[in-house]
Amino acid sequence: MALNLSSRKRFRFFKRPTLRAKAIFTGLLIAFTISLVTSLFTYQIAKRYLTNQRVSIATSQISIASRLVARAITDGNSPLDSLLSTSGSFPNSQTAIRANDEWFISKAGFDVNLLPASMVDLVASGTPVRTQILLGTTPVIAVGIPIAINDSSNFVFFGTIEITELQRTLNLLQNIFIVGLIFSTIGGAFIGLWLSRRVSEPLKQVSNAAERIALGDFSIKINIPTEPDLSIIAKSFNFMTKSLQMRIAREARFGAVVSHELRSPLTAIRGATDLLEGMQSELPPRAALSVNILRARVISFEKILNDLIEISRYESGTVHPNLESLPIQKMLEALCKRRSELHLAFIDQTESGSSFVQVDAKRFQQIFENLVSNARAYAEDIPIIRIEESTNEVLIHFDDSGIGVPEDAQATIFDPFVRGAHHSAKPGSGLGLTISTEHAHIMGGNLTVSTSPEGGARFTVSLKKAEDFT
Amino acid sequence: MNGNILFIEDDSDIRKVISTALEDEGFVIHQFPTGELALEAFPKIEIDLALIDLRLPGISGLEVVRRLRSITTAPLVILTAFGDSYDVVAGLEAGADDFLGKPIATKELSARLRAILRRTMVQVGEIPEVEDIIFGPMVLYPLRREAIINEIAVELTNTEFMVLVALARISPNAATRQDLLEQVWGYDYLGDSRLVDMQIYRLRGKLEPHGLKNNLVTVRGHGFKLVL
Repeated sequence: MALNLSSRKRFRFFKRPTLRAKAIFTGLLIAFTISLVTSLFTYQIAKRYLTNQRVSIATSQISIASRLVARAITDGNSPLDSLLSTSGSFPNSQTAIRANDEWFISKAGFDVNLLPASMVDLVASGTPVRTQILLGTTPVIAVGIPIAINDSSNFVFFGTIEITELQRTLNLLQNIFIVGLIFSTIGGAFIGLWLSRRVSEPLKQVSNAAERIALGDFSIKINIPTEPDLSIIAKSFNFMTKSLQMRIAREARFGAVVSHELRSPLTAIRGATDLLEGMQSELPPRAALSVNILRARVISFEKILNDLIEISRYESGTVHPNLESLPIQKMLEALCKRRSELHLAFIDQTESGSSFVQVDAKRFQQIFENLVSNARAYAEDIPIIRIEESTNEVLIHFDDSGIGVPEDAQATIFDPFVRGAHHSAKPGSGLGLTISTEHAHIMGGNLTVSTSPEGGARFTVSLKKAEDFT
Repeated sequence: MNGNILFIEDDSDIRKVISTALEDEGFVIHQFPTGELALEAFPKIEIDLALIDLRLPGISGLEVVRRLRSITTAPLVILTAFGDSYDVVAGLEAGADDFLGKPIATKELSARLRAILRRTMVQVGEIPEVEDIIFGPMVLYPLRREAIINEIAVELTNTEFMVLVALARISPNAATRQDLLEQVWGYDYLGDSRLVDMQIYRLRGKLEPHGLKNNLVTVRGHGFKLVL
């Protein structure tokens, strides 16, 4: 039923987990990117600086050594081996001289074959070479310098300086940056989480509030957060709620005024026609006819007005039922007594009738009258009222022997303004069954349609049984 | 039956039409457009029942009910907008004994008023099949509409008195709200149980100074009873 508030879907404006995950992921990504870029940049600068420094030291050390060796060779008073171990020697270094394809080395264990052949050839051809290579597994700076001694240029000086220390420093630096990267990424995720909380908390409030508003509670207000951006949302939301509230109040007031303004003249007209009707025997026939028409139309107008007001009450959720426990049989007997033509039948007579049901007497009476007058209007029949009992509820059937309600119409017959075929000839607003259904629902019961044993329509009101106190 | 009815309604057409219809039914109508005029005239007229529209210019219908309640024991019937639950409750709290939804057919209106008057008016010439009821320190005189507790008269409205009589008659058994609606108000199973609850509440208030408040017991899920 469109008007049934409880069955309305609950709204969810924001899927908070997704929003939060997004914020966390974004924070994580930003932190990762920033720290990766800065780490790489810093590492590269540091690496280049340290390497350059080391290389220039190594180069100058080796070139000094080569000059010393060159002078010693020129002087010619020392063997090359001892020359290398004295003048050509310094910490973490190894030196070698190639003289006419013969190698002399500063220390035992310097495997000159590990020097790249291309480098050796290049230096032998007279070009000084400086390069970083792996000597076996040891990273070194290798420098080759051709030594020019008068006529002979067959002397070549090689020096290598270990840079394990530099490599270690760079590795350490790299590790520090990686750890830093990890930490700042996690930190970024946390910042994202914190930010998302900060942002989603007010949004969560908004969505909760919106949900409550959807269920008809307009009293709710959102706390205004301190952030200007978020406070705008909260303020506009509160403003919206307030104006909605005012609008509903205005509509309710409008409804009350309209219904009062319509009712007052209607009451007067109704009273006057009632008076006229009482004098019908004294009236000329044409006047009596007019009075009859007038009165019938006023009564149906009155009913339509009441229906409209009632339906708007259900729409705005301002119906407050007056639920009581009443004996259903006695209640129906009292109602039938008012219309002598109605008769009551009991299915399973043994127990029925003594049951108390949860009911709003006035509204039940309206359902009753609506179903009886529907049967008279549409089936041109006086319905048989049958009571049937189940464990938790009492079913009250209104059975007629008319044409019944076609199956395809059974689903829509309770909707507002839906009326049977040839309805234009029948009185009523098309709201009777809608209101009756709402009435039944508000008592915790229901109203359904099926086929009566007589082949016509069967309207069944089900009411919840109340505690039995006889 | 000639009941004297005070009728307060601001809409002159409605007032005239309803007054005429009720006069045709044999009632005597004292009609006023405002609460002020009705209250001013009240000491000079005798009434058996007041019919008050809740929407009035000047002092409100509720206030009129409140003031009338303080000066008369006659049944006060309010006219409320159809299905307006708030008005009903407010009216009953102000002291009304019954309510009728507007718009109402004149036939229904007169039937309702007659039902109330039949139960509250002391019928002249009617054979009293009622006896005085003695209930502990309380004596009820149905014909004189008097309740005496410990030789002190208790000020009760007509409706309150009848509720008390109904309960005293069947004591120590309990009466359901429907029993009371039927006996006191003349409703069949379609009366509004709030009418009963409000009268019980008022009765308790009036019995309290006489030490009988706790003798009027609510029977949960059933109704009420008077116990000694």
